[in-house]
Amino acid sequence: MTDAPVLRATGLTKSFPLRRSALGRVVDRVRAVDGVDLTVTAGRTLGIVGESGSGKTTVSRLVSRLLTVDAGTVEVDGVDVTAARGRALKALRASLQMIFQDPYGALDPTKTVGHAVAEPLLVHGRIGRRELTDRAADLLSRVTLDPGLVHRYPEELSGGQRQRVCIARALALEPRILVADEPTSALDLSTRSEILNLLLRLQKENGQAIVLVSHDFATVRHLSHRIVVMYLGRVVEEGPAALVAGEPLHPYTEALLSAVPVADPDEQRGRKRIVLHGDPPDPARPPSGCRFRTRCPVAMDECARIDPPLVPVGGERSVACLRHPGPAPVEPAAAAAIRVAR
Amino acid sequence: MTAAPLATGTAPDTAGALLSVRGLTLDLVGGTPQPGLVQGVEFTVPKGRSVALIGESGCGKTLTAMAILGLLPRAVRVVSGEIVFAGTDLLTCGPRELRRIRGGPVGAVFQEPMSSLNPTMTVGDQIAEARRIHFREGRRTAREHARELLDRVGIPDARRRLDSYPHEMSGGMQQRVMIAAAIAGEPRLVVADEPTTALDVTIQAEILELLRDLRRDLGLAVLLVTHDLGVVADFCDEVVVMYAGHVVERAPVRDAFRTPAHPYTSALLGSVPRSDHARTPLQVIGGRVPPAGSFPGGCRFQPRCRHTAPACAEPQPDTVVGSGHHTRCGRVAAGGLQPGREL
Amino acid sequence: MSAPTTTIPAARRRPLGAVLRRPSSAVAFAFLVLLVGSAIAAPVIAPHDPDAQELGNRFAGVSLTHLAGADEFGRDVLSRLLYAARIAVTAPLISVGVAVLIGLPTGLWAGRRRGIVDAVSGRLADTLLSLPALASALAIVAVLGPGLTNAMVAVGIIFSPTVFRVVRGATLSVAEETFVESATAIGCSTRRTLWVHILPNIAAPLLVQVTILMGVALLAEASLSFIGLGVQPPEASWGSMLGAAYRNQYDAPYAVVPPGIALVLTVLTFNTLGDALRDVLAGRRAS
Repeated sequence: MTDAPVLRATGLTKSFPLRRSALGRVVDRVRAVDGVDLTVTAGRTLGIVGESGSGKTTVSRLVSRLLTVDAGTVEVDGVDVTAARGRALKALRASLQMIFQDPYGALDPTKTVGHAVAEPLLVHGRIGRRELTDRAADLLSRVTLDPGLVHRYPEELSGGQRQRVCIARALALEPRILVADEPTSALDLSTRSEILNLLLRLQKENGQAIVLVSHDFATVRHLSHRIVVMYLGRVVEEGPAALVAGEPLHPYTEALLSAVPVADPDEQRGRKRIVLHGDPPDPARPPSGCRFRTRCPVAMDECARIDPPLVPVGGERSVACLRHPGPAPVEPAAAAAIRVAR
Repeated sequence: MTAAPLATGTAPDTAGALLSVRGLTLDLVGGTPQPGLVQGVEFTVPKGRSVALIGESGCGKTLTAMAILGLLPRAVRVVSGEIVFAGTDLLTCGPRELRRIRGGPVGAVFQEPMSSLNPTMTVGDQIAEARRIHFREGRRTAREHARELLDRVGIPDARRRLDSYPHEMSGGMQQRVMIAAAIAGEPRLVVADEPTTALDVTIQAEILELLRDLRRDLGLAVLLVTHDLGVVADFCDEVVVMYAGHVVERAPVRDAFRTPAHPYTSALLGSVPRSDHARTPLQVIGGRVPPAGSFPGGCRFQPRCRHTAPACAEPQPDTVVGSGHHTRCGRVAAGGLQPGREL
Repeated sequence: MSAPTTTIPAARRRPLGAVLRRPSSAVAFAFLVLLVGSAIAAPVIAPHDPDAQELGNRFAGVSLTHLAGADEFGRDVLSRLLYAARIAVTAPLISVGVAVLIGLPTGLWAGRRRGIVDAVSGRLADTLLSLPALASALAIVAVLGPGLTNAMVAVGIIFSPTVFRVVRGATLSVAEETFVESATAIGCSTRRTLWVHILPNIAAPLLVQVTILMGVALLAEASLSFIGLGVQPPEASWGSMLGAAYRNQYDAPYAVVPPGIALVLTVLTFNTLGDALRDVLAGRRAS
């Protein structure tokens, strides 16, 4: 296993139009992702956790080139693919595959399971039509599905079976990177554990890098080596999974963890609770300074003025909070300068 | 913040129950008829307590809740059983009586606040409606009460919010409005069907906190339908586990998590990721819930169970294995299997 | 893994079967088969040459030799009806074919690409739809010259914005589905995504629209032939037969009946089948 990153994203920024004038000009936009950096190494899982409006889903679409960045770069194996088109883009597709949240909508209802699974090979010219059924059967058995399902249609399958089909489809091209957007949130409890086990096993067998995007801290904690916590389009904390989930530094991470109830009555009722008050702010009009300050239980006056940058604090961790200024304390003026430079 | 005291293992006897469901059996009659969609369901909700109804989708937990609220779909028929709320059988009382109870002493909160609230009515009118129906209050009094209720459920600037429409509010705020409408009838029991499933986890924590406060202040009993074992551990005193239309286990919350007495409960608990076992395989339950109409005879969980024995094909009686702790697993009841997480 | 146990509603996989289980549409379908059959077999089953004039038989009533009587030139009405069935089948096919040829690719493209392509083609379609249909058809025929093919091409052009709208709307909603995103993610080209993944998924609403348009096209053909801009004499269409009957209403008031009945039944057939398809496919969506 090498430490060279297979996927590196820097300064990812993306905004979406909210409103257009009668002439089609964008008059209001929301910055869904604002200067996000990510690095994933082979065989490792990077978990991105955040609530709705955090921009985590947009990040997954940006690194997989399903959306185009406004600013920033995406590198796969050291090659800049931010503006890849045509053949280069198709090559990128072969090395980076996606697993979607909704296994019900992710499969074309008019195509058989076999077609769904082997289609990537067909599109990339790796097999002919005649080999489709055999290859599909192989792929299905890799995700422990009955190869006899090749001639079935998605609607005949359960949610868990469909998600396995989606995973088999994503594996067909033997990608180096899997981006999984909420792969288990549409599934029932017992099915969810099957899918998580499958992802763990496949990663051990094939050494894929996985980017796991989820709102569920427990799922992210279970699969990830490193965790990125997002809030309103920014990364607020990043670091090794055990540390981020065990000793969170950012008040938002702390609140998020505290909000996830533990499935143990004694432990859960003995925990310190941090209940946030108020709704998250409108992402189109984020508050000044730190974006979390309006809901932060430990906000200070400076938080309204200074937008804290994500700074390393040692132990391979980074935090964007004025209460954790890192080894070299950031002067308010310096922080302001950093903010202006963005 | 103080945590709610943990329920101890005292047996809730039916006599002290606010709601008791006995032998509830529901059949699907429309389309392809399917008998035993929900079969012989039995549990109680004691006064002021919070009971969780858990299970995977297709296990009949929502149907059971809908039966209590008298909101069953047309195609589902009650075959037998009774649902006694404060001495009245909701299944045999007339429509007038049912209307008096529903929205009055029994409140309801649903999963999707956006589709449960009327988009063409202001939230103030929707909350006031319950006061006007159940307490025959005049427009002005009802509105004043609606404002107090919005205040009570933690909606800032309640007076102005009375005139808002549901779509102008966030999901969390809408759910607060739903709760305000549910408690407007001064209920003694609130039936909440996945009330936080559609919400972000920090908002879920706020809503659970609100429900906890309301329980304490108003002495509410809550029947919470959920699939989130964390929420159960956090909020509930007792647990009713359903599988394929059967209640397979009932227990005080601590017993259910510590010494589950049915292999299905134990398997559900084993499928939850735990922080001290990161990146290790989770327990899986092979197969899936059979579709209604093709439930196996005897123990309905037996085709997916790790401990299946020939006796499992026989009907499994409800057996008491501890104080207030019932199981429908014959092997546990006979002492062949020990209750616990390893079940 | 256990084998899947769910059963799929038959309507989902075999919409035609579900349509035919309704008595009204089964009758309609049988009539359609009869119509196409007689159109094909007209030379064999027609008792007379449809254009053979027997002036001695002008306006002859129903008899054993002329089962549906004879027209103003003494031609056998039944034979003309049967031959006209060929036009009743082919003329709508031309119009609907032209409409689909124009409306389908543009609708797919506009629905998938959005943006400027969508805006321009949408305005164009709106403009075409706001013109009175028959008047525009007349104008187009005036340019192309009279004749059945020209008339039906004109009708097809008039129909194309309707097809465009249906296709565009369906494409817009299908394009939102995750499987379309998934197709992009595995490297499908836009063309492959459109033809392999989107088209089969919009086939249902398109089929409904096409069936209903067949009926409307037949009426348009009849109207144009009625006023002499469609089929040219001596060829017969139900519309031109109606026109002739109208002109001779004092000599043979009953002559409007045979072509009138044929026309009404056929249009009714297309509408019944279209409605049934829509209901069946809508139920499919809902499930």
